[in-house]
Amino acid sequence: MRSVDELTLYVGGLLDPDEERELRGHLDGCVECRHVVARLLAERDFLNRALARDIVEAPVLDPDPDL
Amino acid sequence: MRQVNLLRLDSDEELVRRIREGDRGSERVLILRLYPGVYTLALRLLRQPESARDAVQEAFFRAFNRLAQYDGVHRFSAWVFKILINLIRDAARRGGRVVTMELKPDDWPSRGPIPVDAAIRAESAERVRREVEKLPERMRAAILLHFQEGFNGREVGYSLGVSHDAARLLISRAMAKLRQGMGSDE
Repeated sequence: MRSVDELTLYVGGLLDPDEERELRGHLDGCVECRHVVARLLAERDFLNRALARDIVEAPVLDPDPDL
Repeated sequence: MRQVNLLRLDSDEELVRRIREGDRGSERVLILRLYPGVYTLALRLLRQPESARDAVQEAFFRAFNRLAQYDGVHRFSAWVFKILINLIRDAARRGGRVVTMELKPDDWPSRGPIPVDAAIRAESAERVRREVEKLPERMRAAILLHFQEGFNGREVGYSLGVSHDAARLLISRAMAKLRQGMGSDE
């Protein structure tokens, strides 16, 4: 069973290619880790939406000199 | 009048190339494109709209004034965020005040009845934003650059002025703290 930290980095695309390749090999044979990855993917989806950029007013800029 | 090609969006880096050749119009496009993300991050770090606006204005000013220092290797937005974060950190060292922004019920848009599951999700999203606000500054910046801006580990590290490994560590520690704050069973 791999650590939640390592699986979190995997789900976040934060592992180096070699690290990711090695972990994928582990996931092929570990049902428990695959379940954790599924939950981490849902967690990631939630955080992506919760921490998305706010809708903000555009800044007031000087007039375009070319128009 | 200059012809505008509506079907092709120039990359940030292409716009930077034109700005270096003196194209002020591209500077405007780039500011308008990057402003939402830069302002959102500034607001989430400073928690005060006026301070955030000032910091963003200064960050863009420095970014374009010091364009010769932009290496062209990393995303231009990562460089703007790097300048912004350094600005905020320097202000904090000089004793800049951080004011907590409290959300009042009036801040929620009025849309009539909200389905229960959407209300629960909205409340959870607000809770996680509050937990993010409690994180130490560098962890908070790391988690926001990663989720809000979609930066990978190297880009987060570049913007924070730390190594790739240090950036990954900040993100995973921040996630652990968020889970703890949200009452996770992990």
